[in-house]
This record gives sequence, structure tokens and C-alpha cells, in this order.
Amino acid sequence: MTSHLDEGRIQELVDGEIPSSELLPIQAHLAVCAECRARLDEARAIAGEADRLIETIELPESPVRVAPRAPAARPRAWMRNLAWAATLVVAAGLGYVARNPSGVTAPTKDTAAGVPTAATDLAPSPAETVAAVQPQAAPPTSSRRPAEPLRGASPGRLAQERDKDGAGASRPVPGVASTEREEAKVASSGRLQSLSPTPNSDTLQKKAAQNQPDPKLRLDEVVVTGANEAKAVAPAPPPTAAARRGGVRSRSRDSSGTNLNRVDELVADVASGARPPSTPPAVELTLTAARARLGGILRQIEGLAPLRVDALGDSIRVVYPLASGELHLVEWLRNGELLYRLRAPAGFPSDSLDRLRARVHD
Amino acid sequence: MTGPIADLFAEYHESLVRMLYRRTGDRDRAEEIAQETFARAVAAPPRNPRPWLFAVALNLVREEGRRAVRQDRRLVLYKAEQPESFEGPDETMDRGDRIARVRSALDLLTERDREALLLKAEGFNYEDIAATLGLARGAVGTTLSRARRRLVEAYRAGEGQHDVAS
Repeated sequence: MTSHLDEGRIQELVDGEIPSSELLPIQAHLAVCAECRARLDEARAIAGEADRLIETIELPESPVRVAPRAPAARPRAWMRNLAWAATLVVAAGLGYVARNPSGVTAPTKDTAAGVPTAATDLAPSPAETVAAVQPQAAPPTSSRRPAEPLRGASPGRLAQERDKDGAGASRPVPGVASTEREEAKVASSGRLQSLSPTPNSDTLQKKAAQNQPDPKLRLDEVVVTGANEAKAVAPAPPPTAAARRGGVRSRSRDSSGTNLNRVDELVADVASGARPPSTPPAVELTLTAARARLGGILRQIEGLAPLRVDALGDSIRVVYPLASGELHLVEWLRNGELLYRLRAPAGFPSDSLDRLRARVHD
Repeated sequence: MTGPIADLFAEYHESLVRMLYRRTGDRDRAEEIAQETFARAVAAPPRNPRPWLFAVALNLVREEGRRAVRQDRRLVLYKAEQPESFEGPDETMDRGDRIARVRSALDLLTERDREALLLKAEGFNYEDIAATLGLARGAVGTTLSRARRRLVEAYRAGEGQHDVAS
């Protein structure tokens, strides 16, 4: 006969942690031992109450709303080489709001239905979106499919990462709420309004024509501002050149086949100051180390979980995964002031960017 | 994000944030620690992911706790917590007060007991609790037994103390 059950054993019974093979002797004991039955009952009651107590502490609701599903689009293979379409320069002075209580609701992809995916846009046109940035096929660890719209708010781009065919399997994932919603918001709001296949600059066309017979941009050809950026592994913040001359134009001079037209429209130009120092190759950091480099403060986008944090020379780049690529928050210290810039991939709607800006905070 | 990490994130992020939130009382800090935890998973993908993620996160909490006292933030959050539903015997009590009392009770537990409870609340089985906390599996039952009992006792003992700003 089994001796009395000890506390641990009783708890295992309460939590169903006893392998079925071991149950019988225990049940047999309980059948004849009132004391152990009573202890078991009490343990159950206490466990139940403890569970209830802990469950009273609920996670405060996330401010980000779930966006409607967007139909899948088939990404083009070469799109993988394009990381981003535009550089968004955000003035540090724009400030930010701690939380966006109303959340963000994104229009469905249909609203931007007229706009082809970034892939489509870019394909025919010499003015390709260019990543203003990130050149480079995103670092090997992150398989990006920049043009792929978000499918469903829930699995978000995480599912897309795995589903290369764009079938858009939906996984009922309870977590990942904020990141996915943000992505849904971003992606499903469609392509960049300014997305247009036509470059608005002769310079661009000439440049594109002369630089590559193939209008499609390949990252290794995207030289944002010059020699530095040519080392594509470390995407150089295009903003450098752009900001320097107040905009897209300058980049067009340096980049081949860049659709600066889009960058033009996207760049919320910052007169001065909001441009990062030129960039050397990226070195990955921990959040803590990054924060330390910036003097104890690291700006992040609320509601998004960063994929990684890189040090780019003096600046820090926080990388957020999006369905359509990567969102980069580049920040740096200048005269003791922490400036930052948001950079987004092709098809990133500027209004979403505004909302994101509102969520940049320490 | 690579496939496996993306899967990890999808599967455990919310649970991790919730556990951290209950552990620290600070939603922002919980998110931040969760982010750091996943960032580390990207750097060194774990084999036994759930215990690893939660163990790293709890370590981060402990390290941060040593560096700074976040008493103030915690106090503010006690006030700010907005309960959604109401249940339980304390009908006359304000929900916010209830939560504050639970937190106070949790604070009275030893770190190990508290963490075991919070992991259990996230659906961990004994094996994973053992792996996460570095306990022998056989010790999990006794740990939970003690932790639950102490929590309930502390909560009941806190009756009448509606002092949110403790």
C-alpha cells in the first residue's frame, strides 16, 4: 500500500503531473485514506485561489489595433535584394507621444489596390525604389521579402517569413500582438501613395539608364552616397547625403537606378541636424550596449519588438521587422541631443510613418 | 527574423511579456526585457526555447533589479492598472485594490517561489519550470505547494489594507 502522499506529490496530482503509469497506486491509496483526500482537496482549493489571484493581474491592453487582413502577393525573387524604398527622415524635433491610445487602423490593402507591389513597381521602372537604404540584402539571418504584404494581423510577417509562396497561412497566434499589428498596419495600408514608376527627375532616368540596363535594382548596385555605402554589408543611411542636400536629389546622384521620386515624397525633410553621421559597417549590439553608447537612452518604437540593434559607427540602428522589409530607427547623439530617423521599406505609407513617429520614445 | 526565431516570438512573446509584467509590475519594462530576451535568442538560438527564454528574462529582471530600485514606477503602475472583469469573493473591494493586494502578497514570497508561480500561470509544466529555474523536477511540486499557500495566506492577511501606495 502506498504511504501517505507528501506535499510535492499532492501538488503533482493537483497539476496533473503524474504519469498515468504511476497513478494507480496513488488512486488506490486515496481510496482508503481520508486524510490524504482532505489534503488533496485543500491543495486544489489553494491552487485554484492562487491561480485566480495571479490572473487578476492582466496585461494592460496594447494600444495597437489589429489591422484587417491583406491578401497575399507573390513576391519577386529579385525583390529580396531590395530592402527598402525610402528613407524617411524624421526630425528629432517632431517629438513623440508616449502612447497612441486610439491605436492605428490601417486601410485594407484594397485601398491601395491600384498600387502594385513594390516588386511590380520597381520592375519596369528605372527609377527603382531604393532602398534608400538598406541595401543589402538584409543580413543573411533575416530573409526579407520586402514586397510581401502582410497577411492577417495575427501571424503577421512571422508567418510570411516561413511561407515563401505568399500563401498567407494564418496562425492564430495570441502573442506577438504589437509587432504584428504594427506590421499589419503598415503593410495593409498599402503601398506608398507616392509610389509611382515614373521618376520625376531626368537625372534619375539618365542615371538609371546609364548605370544599369536592368532596371531592377540590385542591392550591390545601390550606392547610396558613395564609397562608404558601397560596402553594402553595412547599409549606410542614405539620409546622410540626402539630408545634407535637403532631400532626395542628392541621392539620385549617387545611387544608380534609385527611385528618388519616391524618396522625395517620403522624406520629411529635416532642415538640419537630423542626419546621422556617415556609416561604417554594422556591428550588432545588445539593447543594453546600445543604450550605453547613447548615453543611457535608447529610443524605440512602442509596440514593436526589434529584431536586432546595430552600431553604425557613432549611431545606433534599431531594426524592426516588417512585412515589407525592415523598419530602421537610426539614432545618434549630437551635441548631447539624441536625434533619430526612421527609415522604411518600399511601400511604406507615410501616414503610417507618422503614427510610428508618434510612438518613438525612450 | 529567421523562421525559427519568428516562431518562437509568435508563440511565446505575449506569454513572456505577461509573466514579466506580473513579475515587475511595469508594462514597459516587461516589453523591454522581452525584447532583449528575444534579441539574445536571435544571437544564440536556444534548443529548449521556452525555459531558455523565460530563464533569460528572469535573469534580466534580477540584474536590473540589482542595479536600480524601481519602486516609484511600480507604485505608479499599481494605480494605473485597469482591471477588465471582476470576480471573486471581495465584491466590495475595488479591483485596483485587489490587484495591489495580490502584488503585495507576491512580493512577500521568495524569488524562487514567486517565479515558480508565475511560470505555472503561463502554463509551464513541472519539467519546464524545473528547467527554467534550475530546480530538480521533484522539487517543483513542493515549491509550488509552498508558494501557493504563502500567496493565499499573504493575500488574506492583507485584508483591510487598501493601501495602494505601500
